[in-house]
Amino acid sequence: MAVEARGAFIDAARAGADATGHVARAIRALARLPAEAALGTVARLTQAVVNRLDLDALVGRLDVQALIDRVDVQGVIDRVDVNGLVERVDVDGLVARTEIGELIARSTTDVAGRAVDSVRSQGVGLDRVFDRLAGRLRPGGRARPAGPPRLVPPDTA
Amino acid sequence: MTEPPASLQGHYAGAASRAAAYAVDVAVSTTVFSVGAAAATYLLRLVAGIDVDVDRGHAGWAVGYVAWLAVYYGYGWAATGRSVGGALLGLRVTARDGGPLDVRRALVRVVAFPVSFATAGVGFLGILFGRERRALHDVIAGTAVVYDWEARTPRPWLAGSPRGAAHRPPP
Repeated sequence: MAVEARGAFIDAARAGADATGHVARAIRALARLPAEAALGTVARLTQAVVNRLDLDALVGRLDVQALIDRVDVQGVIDRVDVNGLVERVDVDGLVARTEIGELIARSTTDVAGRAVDSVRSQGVGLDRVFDRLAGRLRPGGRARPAGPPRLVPPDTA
Repeated sequence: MTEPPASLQGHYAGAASRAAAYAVDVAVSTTVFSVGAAAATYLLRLVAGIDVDVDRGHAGWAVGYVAWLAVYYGYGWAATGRSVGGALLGLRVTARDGGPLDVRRALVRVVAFPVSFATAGVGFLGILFGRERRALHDVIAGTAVVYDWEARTPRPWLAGSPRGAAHRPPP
């Protein structure tokens, strides 16, 4: 048995030596070729190897989450020139497209309108208060018309 | 949900709104007169070399100011029924029956306006106690003052007001 194992080992070593010899001979043959031809041959060999690879299986064996965890996101962000990016943004063009001037004018008008309505409303409220106070002091206490007859029906009090 | 209160547009305007409108008118008319007088005296000095007496106690200034007020109120009332203060507070001067104010009535009102002041303010009591909320100068000119916007009574801010119960939130 030991003789057989010794024989198997010697056979494997001879096969390895033969394979190494083949590779060495291939490298020497490549070295004798012109550079462009050698590169072309290497490219064809590489393509042949890649074509035989099962990339799906290869990717399936990858731990994508672990890969992502190893990415230094902060480092990437720190390397981004934000000021340079902002300088490349056409702010005037953006503003022109949003019609911000019109927005400002409209919102200013709305605010002013609401302010005027608020002042007027407070005046009306005070008028009602004084009316009630005066109603208690007025002799007779008859109901008064709400407005001129052409603007307010006479039965409105 | 309670219904919104009815609009008060066309109703007689009360004392508070009219007083506020008058305050605005005093501020605006006085400012415009002061700026105009300053500009006029400057131009006279610059262009004609005339040095105008800037003593504000001079009778000429009083006459000029009264004339300016007559133009200020007379033009506003005759043209639109509103002064600047009236427009801001949403008030309009109409004929007594609510019809549009004509030029004659507007001018009579301008002349009669100082009469209410000359009576030590008694002329304004009609706005509070009168049946048609008209001051003395309104009675003389045959005019009335009404709300000219979608006026509605705001949420009451005095406790015990009759509408308070309607607007008070439920416990």
